[in-house]
Amino acid sequence: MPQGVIKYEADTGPMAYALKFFSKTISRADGHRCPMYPSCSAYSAEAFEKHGFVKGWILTSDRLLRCGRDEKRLSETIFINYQPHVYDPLSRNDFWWSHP
Amino acid sequence: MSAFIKHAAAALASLMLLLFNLPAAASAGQVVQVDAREQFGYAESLYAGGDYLLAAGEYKRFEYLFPDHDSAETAAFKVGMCYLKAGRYPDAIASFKDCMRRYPEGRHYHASHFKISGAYVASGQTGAAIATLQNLVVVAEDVDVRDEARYRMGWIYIGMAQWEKAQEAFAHISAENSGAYRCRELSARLAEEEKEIPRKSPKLAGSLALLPGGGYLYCGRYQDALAAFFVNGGLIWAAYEAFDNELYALGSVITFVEIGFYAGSIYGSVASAHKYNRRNERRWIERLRQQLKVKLAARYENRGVELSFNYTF
Repeated sequence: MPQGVIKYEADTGPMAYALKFFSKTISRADGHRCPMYPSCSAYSAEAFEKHGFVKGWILTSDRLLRCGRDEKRLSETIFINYQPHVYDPLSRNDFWWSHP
Repeated sequence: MSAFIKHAAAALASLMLLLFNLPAAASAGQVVQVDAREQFGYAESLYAGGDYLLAAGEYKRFEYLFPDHDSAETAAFKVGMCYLKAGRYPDAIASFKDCMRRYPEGRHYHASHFKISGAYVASGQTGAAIATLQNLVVVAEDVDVRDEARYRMGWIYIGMAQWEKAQEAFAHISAENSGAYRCRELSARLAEEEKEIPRKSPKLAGSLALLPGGGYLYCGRYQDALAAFFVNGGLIWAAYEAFDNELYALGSVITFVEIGFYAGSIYGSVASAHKYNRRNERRWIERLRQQLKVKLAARYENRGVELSFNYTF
């Protein structure tokens, strides 16, 4: 794994299996194309792990709606494996109600 | 037999020669004596060159070799500085605390408090940073030190967007230092922050998002608004068509997905308003810092300690 890349492992629940299936099968075949960092699947896994199924599902849907659009203009760009990505971690989207 | 005795005598003579020469060869290397000034100077040169972790080791060596030297306290303080500069905040805090414990009457005692507070801020522990400064306000006899602690506390509160607490901290600065710290201007600006910082209402954003995309539109996220409108609109239409054609299983799956996206767009709208507000608060604070923050390093120039610090939150 490249330095600075965060790997999230939601290891329980049906969503964990769905996300693992997506990352290990679909994403590998389709290619890693998410312009955000962490990627939508990693973001989703973290959201499910941190907030449970209902909030995780809502946060995932919100992220999918925002992926690669206005966030590009509003958030800073970081480089992962020399590729530009929009930095949008979960902590920037749940800071106003969630405390670590 | 005589040949054997001759060989044995020669071997014994060679062995003796070797044994007697060994200590001489071993002591032929140079002996370097390092005095306190050179040891401290070497540590300082590493520090000046940015080799902070090596410098920390050399300052520790100085403390070990010259524990009674006048600069031993400075060396202990500089160990903390090295860790602070290297970004190793827990080690820095531990070193400064150690310095304070060993030299409670020392010249770096107050500076150690400030540095501990700065390290806490840098590591995101603003509560501990404020507690350290509050403790200093209680124990310090020097009014200048107390005022500086309050001033730093005020800026930490500003960083946390706790404007009233910041104003309170600045208000407690003594009259003699109030002008130097520009307290009146700071308080005036803090009182005006509500007018100066453009904000969006999260409640209004959430309400507008009942029509998908409305909340994003209100927050200036036009592409997100369009995406939310079409994705939600498309899924609602698809669910309607599925139920209308008596495809209940398909309709249920689409409805389940749509509920997530609908709730997600409301959530995202509220979050966007909060992010908008936070972004503008940060910009405002940065401007305030550039315009009004006093550089504290100058006040302690003659004490040989840099007391300025920057932080993000």
